[in-house]
Amino acid sequence: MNTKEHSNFFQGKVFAILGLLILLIVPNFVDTNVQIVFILILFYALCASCWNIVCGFVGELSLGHAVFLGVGAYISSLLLMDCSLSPWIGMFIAAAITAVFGVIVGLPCFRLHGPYFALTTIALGELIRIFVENNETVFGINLRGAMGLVLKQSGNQFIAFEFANKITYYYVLVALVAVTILVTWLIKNSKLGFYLTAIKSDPDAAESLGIKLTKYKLIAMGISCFLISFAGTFYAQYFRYVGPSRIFSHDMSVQIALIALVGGQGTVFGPLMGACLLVPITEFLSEEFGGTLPGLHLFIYGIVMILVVLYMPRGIFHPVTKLFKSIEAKLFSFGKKSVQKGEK
Amino acid sequence: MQTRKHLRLLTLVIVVLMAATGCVPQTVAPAATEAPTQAAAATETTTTDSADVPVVKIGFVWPLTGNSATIGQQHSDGALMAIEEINANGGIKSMGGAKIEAVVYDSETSPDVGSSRVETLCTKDNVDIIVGCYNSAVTFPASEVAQRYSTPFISMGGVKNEITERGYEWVFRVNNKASYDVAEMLKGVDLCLQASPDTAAAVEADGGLTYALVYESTDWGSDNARIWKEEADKRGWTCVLDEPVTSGQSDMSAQAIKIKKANPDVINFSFYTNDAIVFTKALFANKINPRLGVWSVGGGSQDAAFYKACSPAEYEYSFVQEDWNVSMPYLYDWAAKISEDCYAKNGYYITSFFAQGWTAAKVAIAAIEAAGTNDKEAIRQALVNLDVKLEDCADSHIILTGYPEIKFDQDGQNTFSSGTIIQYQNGVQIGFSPLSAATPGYSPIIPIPDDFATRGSTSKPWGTAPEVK
Amino acid sequence: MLDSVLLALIYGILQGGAYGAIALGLSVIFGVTRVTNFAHGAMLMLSTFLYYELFTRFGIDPYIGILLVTPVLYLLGMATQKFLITPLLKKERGTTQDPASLLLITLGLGYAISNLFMMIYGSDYKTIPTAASRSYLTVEIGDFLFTTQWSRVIAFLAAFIIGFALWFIINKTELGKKIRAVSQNRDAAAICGVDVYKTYAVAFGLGIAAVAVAGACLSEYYFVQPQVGTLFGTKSFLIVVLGGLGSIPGAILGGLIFGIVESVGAQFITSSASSMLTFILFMIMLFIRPSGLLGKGGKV
Repeated sequence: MNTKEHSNFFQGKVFAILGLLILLIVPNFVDTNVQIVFILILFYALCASCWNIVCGFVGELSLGHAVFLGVGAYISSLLLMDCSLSPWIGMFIAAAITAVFGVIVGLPCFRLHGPYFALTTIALGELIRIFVENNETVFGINLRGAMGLVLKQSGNQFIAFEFANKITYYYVLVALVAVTILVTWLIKNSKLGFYLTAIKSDPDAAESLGIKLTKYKLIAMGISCFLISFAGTFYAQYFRYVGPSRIFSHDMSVQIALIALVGGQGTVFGPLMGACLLVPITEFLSEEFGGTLPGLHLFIYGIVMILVVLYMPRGIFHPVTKLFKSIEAKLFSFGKKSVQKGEK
Repeated sequence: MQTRKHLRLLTLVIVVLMAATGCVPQTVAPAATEAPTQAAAATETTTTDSADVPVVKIGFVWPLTGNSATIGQQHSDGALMAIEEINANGGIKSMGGAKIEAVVYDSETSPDVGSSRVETLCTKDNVDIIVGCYNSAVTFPASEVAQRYSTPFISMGGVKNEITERGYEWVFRVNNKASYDVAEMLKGVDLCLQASPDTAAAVEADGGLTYALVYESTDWGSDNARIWKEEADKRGWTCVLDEPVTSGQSDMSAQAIKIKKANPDVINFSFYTNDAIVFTKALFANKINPRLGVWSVGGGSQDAAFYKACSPAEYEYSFVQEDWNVSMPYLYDWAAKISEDCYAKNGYYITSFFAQGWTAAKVAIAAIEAAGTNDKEAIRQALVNLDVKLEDCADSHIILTGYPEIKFDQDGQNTFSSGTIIQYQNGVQIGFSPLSAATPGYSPIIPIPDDFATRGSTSKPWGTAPEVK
Repeated sequence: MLDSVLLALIYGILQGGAYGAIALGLSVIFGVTRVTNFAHGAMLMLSTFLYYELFTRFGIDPYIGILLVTPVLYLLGMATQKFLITPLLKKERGTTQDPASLLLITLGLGYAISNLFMMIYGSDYKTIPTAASRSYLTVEIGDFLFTTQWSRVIAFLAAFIIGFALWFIINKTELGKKIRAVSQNRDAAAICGVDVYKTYAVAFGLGIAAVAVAGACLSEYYFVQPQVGTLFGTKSFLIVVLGGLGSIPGAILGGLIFGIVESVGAQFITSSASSMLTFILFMIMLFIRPSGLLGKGGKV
């Protein structure tokens, strides 16, 4: 009884806090090539978290989210290239436009469910990819077709979102991921979150209670697109090249969805956890065996997906937190006992 | 319930194990999969034997999965065989016989993966020089990473003009630019017209030369089409069809009908292997016979897999801009020997991709040899000063691609790089442009005869050497 | 002009038939088990590799190889349902159905299979040079020339043969009665003593067996390569939804429409624009009539 009253903020969260501290501090002290992996982890965590906001809470499977990533990347890069607008401002304009675009796209799509919704998003992604690849100019804007957008090096200027060292990029990502996770947490604990969960568990009942399904789904969609657009800007600034055949690709969309699903859809930290598990595995396998056994990392990817669905259908988040909590409890109680013994 | 769960896990594990064991004997066939491990093993043993001998590392990034994977594999085969040859002959002499270690990564045909791998090569593997990445769209951002890390980067395969036009002092390109490719083809068309004045007169009488462009709607395909159009405009030729095609088609009859209706004098296409096969078959089936032939800028139609999939009748009389001098094995004994070795090891005679991979690796090695040190700036200087002539390659075997010379201009572009325009005559590659690569005693067959019934019936298998007349 | 449109129409119909043949299995699986099998393309690819092995090792023509490969793929389909999907369905019984996990597991299976073959065979393009792929059907009337490989004609006909066989099994046999009962009402069928999960496995096996037959036809004119599945997999989905998920004639009709739109569309606009047209057509269809052309109405 006594211990329960003493339970404070840290109880049951020791490992979570430890993990976050690792993500915050460790990249400072590792080689550049490890920093690259950390950046990729957070990049995919960011994308997956955005995916999670709309798909995780609503329970639909979007396999076309790379479209919004790409739209964000394109808009901010075009603003930088054609209007010399700093990406720091451009990313907000891009985010706003992407959000509007997302809502417009979502309007018809959210009338569909299950496989129909998933297939429509696949079709949408392919459609946009082929469209961009084949059109040099759209409404007088020079999209440069299949050649993609090339961002010129402008020296390492903060204003141009270009840094000499990886660690600065990393902390920009940390900030973006923190914001996204905060937004996810806020949504989860707000009316919107309750509505979305209600829609997920029983859309008919939710509707009969007077919840406007489409309205709340679209709000979630808008927020998700707004945030994933930042990831797009980051992608463009970090790789300094946006190629339509990659950024709009089906593979990219699937990867984003998978990380969120493996991590745990509808949870706040799940996508981050999924990225921490999957990205290092794939990076390691593709680096080690990419030259000798191409395809191995995607094969393992597939196997991990099957295993996760079979044994942890709600994602790894809950089992892993449970495991860590039990370990913590054991460590903790062990300490307690010895203290009690000492008292005796 | 619990046991059943375990049973399921067990079956999965068995499947995985079966997969793993299934891979081992099978992957021996494309020898390159084994080569890096061999190379790595070789270097390991030598380093333990004599710890003071330095190791030179060369990084490679090729597309080993994705649409252009067969091509990347051949590039990789060539580069690894070149390194094996050097290691077997005493390594880098100016560095006390230093052995070369190859680090090979897969770009997955993706710009971001390619860039990340180059970054890994620069930071983790600490390679002395990087060679890659075939696809222009990957090479472009990847070479920028090398520039940022001040690591010499030899672009091999990527033809996009801008790769060497950004003022990057660390980026060099051995092979053709897109504009060179197109210029060679147009020169080839000119030669054809000269070779057959009757055809030239007939073309003139019909209101000038007409052409059709069919290409995959990617960076490479549309770039090639754009440059072709610009150059053809200067000559006053007319474009009768401009057809971008999404890659991954299972039937191209619709495109064939369209071409037939447009009735061009020349067809120029750029596809990777899969689409090139489908396209070539559709053209043949529909008996499309432009009088100045079907011209391919390479890509799929330089791939050995293409010629396994198509029958000789289907590619008879077609023109290909091969990115190397196809006569090399007939002109030089050392090239013929490499070709034999390649066949013994990989199951195919030298292709342009193999030759390019080989030459790029050899250029990298030559630069290190000249620098005599691991210092990157010294290697870069050596590349800037590099000047190799084909006739001096009898021992060094550097220019397997058959360029007359390798010397980089101030942009880092090898201005002497050139390919060969070849025509398939009786199933045999006959080179006729430029003159240095021409097969003696032959001239292009123009206009293309209308002999669909008998075409290919006497053709020799692909890879047969032409009889020198 | 008319000439070329007519020709394009014929080519489109032929190609569409082949699309339909591949999509049929997918449609049956969805109709019965409500599972969208994202591993469909990978299964198709797997079957073509089996035909390739049979041809190169024993010289067995894929058309004859059907007799050997189809049973294997049938068992593979049953195993997929039994070991991967049934456990999920059992787990989710009574709770809210979570479509994501069903999609996810087939997606993962597809990834695993296609990349397994990538590791084993590499990405080389292989072909099976049989008689049917090298002989041509030619119709020549004056200027009008229609010519195509016989193997493509056979692939077109195969759509109707597979379609009829599936229709016959489902509508005219004792087994089909069970399948229909299960697909109409799972719980009622269970009460009547039908082993629901076994029937599901049979239906899944049938769908995969159908794709194995289509794979034989495909391997006669197309190449064998680990990524072939992705190309046809995505298309099959769009086709099946267009025609109506679960409808056998719908799958063939959807395939024909796709083939025709691609081929005839390319005569008026560029080829890449006409491949966009199929996606647009698909999306419009979904928004107007989500149950597809021949699908039964109802909530989606």
